[in-house]
Amino acid sequence: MEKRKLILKGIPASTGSVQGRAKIFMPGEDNVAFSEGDILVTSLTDPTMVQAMVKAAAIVTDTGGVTSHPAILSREMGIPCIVNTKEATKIIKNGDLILVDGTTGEIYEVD
Amino acid sequence: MKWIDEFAKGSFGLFAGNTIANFQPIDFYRFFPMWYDIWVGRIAKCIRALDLQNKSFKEIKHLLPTPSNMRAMLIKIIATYPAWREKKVKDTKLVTDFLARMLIECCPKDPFAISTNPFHNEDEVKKIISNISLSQSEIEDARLLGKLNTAAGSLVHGIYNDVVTDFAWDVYGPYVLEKDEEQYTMLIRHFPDLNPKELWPLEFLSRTKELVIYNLYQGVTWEISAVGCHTISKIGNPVEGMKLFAVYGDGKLLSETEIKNLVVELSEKAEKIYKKIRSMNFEELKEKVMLQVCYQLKKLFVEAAVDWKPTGEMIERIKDRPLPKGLLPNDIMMTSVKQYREVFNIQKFEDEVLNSR
Repeated sequence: MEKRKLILKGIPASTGSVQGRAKIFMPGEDNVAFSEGDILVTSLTDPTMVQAMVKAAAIVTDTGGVTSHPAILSREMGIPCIVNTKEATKIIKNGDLILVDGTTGEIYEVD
Repeated sequence: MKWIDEFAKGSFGLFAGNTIANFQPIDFYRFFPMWYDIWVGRIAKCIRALDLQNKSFKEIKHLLPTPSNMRAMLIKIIATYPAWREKKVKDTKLVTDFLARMLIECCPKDPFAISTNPFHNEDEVKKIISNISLSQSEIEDARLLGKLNTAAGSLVHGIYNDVVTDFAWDVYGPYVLEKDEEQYTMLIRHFPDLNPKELWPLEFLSRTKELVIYNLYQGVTWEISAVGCHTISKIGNPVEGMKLFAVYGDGKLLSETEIKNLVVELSEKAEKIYKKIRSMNFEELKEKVMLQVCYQLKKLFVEAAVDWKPTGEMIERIKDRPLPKGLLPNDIMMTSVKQYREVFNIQKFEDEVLNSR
């Protein structure tokens, strides 16, 4: 049976819940391989990661508020988003299977 | 009520609950004071040359940028004014009073966007609805338009940076309207200039210059505070609530395939231009930002036969110089209009400029 462990909490910015593989993408990084359905985990979104944003199943950021661009755009793309987690890019590792609950702002590690 | 009071309420909404940080590629609140006095003096020269004090918005709207852009100009002028090298009180009063009057005339119901950006009146909205070709929206259509908004917004963020994002990304409405006996709320997302050849080589720019996205919703409540690119849904789900839509690129109705292709093109260009920005050094960035700012009023300057580009004097002010320190605090959360008026120098501006004789 699937096990979940709460690993992080931030500000819920776009509702919905989705499970997927985490992909860390820091501003200024080049050539991050991002697949449809991956979960974008970043300190702050910027236009270098827009191709990842439009493929992402959810977005998680270290900083920002509910009126920040990733929050607004996630709501319009209909994907969960959690902002201001403070340390998502430190705690979550590339390839981790995580569940993002954009309604509660909680992020779970899935076994 | 004086316009500055309404302006304070509207622009506070943009910063409420936020700290002033993360501006890309440079902190323009520290950069503008180095040269803004000269630029604002040149805007005043154009206003006088064209006798704009005596002209209505309707007469000169073709020379002006979007309402959100005019609001953002006011925010930047007012907030940075105390740190300008030369205090051009008369010119600054002329320019800010002019921008405020244009906003009062073009958005009379909510000039400073306390909660809406009503750029069109009822008759204009009716005319738009009768002239556009709307399609029914399924969930996947709404998601696709969300991606289009993300891609176009990101390209704007690259072309114009945080500096003048509002110049090329505005959202008008929300407009409540009736169509076929159903009630809807409409937002018009407007990207007026996605290929400014004066700012970047063609390889970084969209092939489409102007993009307009019409979204009609049911059960979604929207709020626009000060500038359209920060439009937020307060109640309801924008994806489930979108019922009708239309997308026009350079005046042509776009099909689903064309929209999908545009998402790919705009995303690729956004990524490419931002990588270019990240490769630029500090001196290059300062000059680019100055050019982006000046480009906002290119049409007005051209009409007045004044060169719209940065002058030698403006460039000299910034060359080989660091940004001055600490005009606005980067770590204070904006929690009230009163605090915002203090921190953003609104009270000081009212006393020194607007109340000057």
